[in-house]
Amino acid sequence: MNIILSIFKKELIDVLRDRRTLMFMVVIPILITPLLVIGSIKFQEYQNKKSEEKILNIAFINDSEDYLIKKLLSDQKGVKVIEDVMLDSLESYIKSDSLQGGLYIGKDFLSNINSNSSGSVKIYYKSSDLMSKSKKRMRSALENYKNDIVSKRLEKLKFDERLLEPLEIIDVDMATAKETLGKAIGGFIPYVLVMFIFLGAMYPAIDLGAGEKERGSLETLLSSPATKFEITMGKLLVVSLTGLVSGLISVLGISSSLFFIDKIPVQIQETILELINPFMIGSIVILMIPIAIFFASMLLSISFYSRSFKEAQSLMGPLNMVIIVPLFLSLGPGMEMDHATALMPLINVGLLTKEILAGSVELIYFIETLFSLLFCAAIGIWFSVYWFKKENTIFRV
Amino acid sequence: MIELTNVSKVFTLTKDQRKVVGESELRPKLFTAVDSINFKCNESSVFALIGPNGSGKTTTLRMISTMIAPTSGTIKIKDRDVSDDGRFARKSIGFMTNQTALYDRLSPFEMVKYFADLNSMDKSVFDKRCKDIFDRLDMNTFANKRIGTLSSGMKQKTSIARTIIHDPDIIVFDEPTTGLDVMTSRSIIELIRNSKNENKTIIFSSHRMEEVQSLADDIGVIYNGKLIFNGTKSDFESLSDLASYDDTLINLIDNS
Repeated sequence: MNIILSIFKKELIDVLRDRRTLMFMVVIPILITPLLVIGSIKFQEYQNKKSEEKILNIAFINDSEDYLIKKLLSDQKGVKVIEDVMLDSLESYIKSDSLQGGLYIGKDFLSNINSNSSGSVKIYYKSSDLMSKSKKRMRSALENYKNDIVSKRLEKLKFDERLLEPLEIIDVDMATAKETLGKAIGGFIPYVLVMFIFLGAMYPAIDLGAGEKERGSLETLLSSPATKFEITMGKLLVVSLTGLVSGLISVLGISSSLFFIDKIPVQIQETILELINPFMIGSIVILMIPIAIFFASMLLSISFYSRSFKEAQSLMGPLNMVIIVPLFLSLGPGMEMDHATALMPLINVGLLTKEILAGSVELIYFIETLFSLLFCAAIGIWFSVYWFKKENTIFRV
Repeated sequence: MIELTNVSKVFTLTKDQRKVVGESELRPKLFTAVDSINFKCNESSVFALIGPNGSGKTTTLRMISTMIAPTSGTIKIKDRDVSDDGRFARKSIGFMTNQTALYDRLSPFEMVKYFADLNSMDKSVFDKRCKDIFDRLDMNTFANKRIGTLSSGMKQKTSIARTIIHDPDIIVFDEPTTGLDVMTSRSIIELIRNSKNENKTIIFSSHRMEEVQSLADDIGVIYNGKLIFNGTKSDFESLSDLASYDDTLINLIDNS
């Protein structure tokens, strides 16, 4: 045990003096994560504002005698009605973005409306233009027109407008603000958490395995009285710890960044503060420990196998995907926490984090998830020790 | 004392390694790096293990240091089988290569302390021995600087201190002076001489025949994994009338 502690102490000092490790373990999670969160929210706001304010050129081609639609369209905010456009050339104008949309009213439109029938209107737009709100604005104008016609028809027939609304649906949301927010950000937190545990563990793992091989110091270490088990455990503890710290710092970084976004109402800020309680932090830390050990053991095994720092980096790259896919699946529709999903590594982390943040976690699922992660961590430890003991791995040429 | 009896090491070649050695993929995937070798290294003497590249020197030294296990045969250190008690063997050994193999972000003191801790040295014993070694090697001026900032000579001294901090009875040197400058090589040669005077068992591999001639008491020549010569320095010198050790070695290999 003393030897494991000696290795742990030495490796910890060593990695804490490594700028690259500190960059990935502390600087990126604490500075870059909040910047990314705030930056992406601000960018989204800017893009929304820009698209709302954008004046759209909408062609209005009218073969009928109706002029109300044109008026309603002109009344829409951010719409400039362009007339005198030929129907044949509409497609090319929209494709070239000279026009953002077009509205065509056929010849029989008004007569159909007047005879209590349906008038056909065509709207032209590009669905690929995500920033464009042309379809929405044209539909809004037509909706207003439709409501007006329906009202007039019902009035003519002396019917009450409520005839068409037999149901009055009143939404009563029973979820607390904490539950709603917990479920909403609960999908995002595991991503960040798991990715930063991985990133925080990656560089120390490379340095303590492939790095030692490159420097030639692994051979000297192997000639010391430390057994291969003790060497692996000492290194594994340090790599797990750096991953764990990195994950924790990233969550703190994200949480703190939410307070710098001015558009978050005070009520939501208060809910966030309510979410960050000892139970939530304790539960997430307990979950993070086996994840960190599992990642550390996998990364260290790859690192022991690699001949060089570079090779280790290139072998570890694809692991990102292996991590992201289960987390992505946990966000899928219909993915709920049950006895089966609680045993699926990483998917269970995604689902359980949401439950923890919403305050609706069930103890049995927590235990099952923890059991599944501890099992993975145990397999990881066993594998990395077994792998390190293999002569072909350590002295691979 | 080190004693090797019928020691062999057979590696399973990977696909890449088979291509490197020109083996067909259909042929056996095994490669015998060391083939039934026997020799003894006595106390207060220096044993030189020589031979061309790829002959099995490093594999032999790694087996003695228990980094890798022999496929067959026994290796005894101070009459104890290393496969039964690897930790005892490693506690008895100081291992050094031509690479300084140090941690750049530690200081020489931290480096030496780390290896003392791995050898479970008592604090009082460590303090005394560390002071003695640092004084002897004139390391006090840079003892607390980061190794990455030191000159190659300072690094070599740190490497020596690390190797001998636990006062091992056996020191294993794997091509200790290969690629080193004259001054640094001299410090290693001094270490070997001093260790012999301190009644330690020394085994080293080398390509430099002048070092072998000046340091060795006994010589083993290994070629293609087989020990083709094992005897005293005078036995080696009497093998041929040729003046140089290089020529004697080449002659031995040619006739094997």
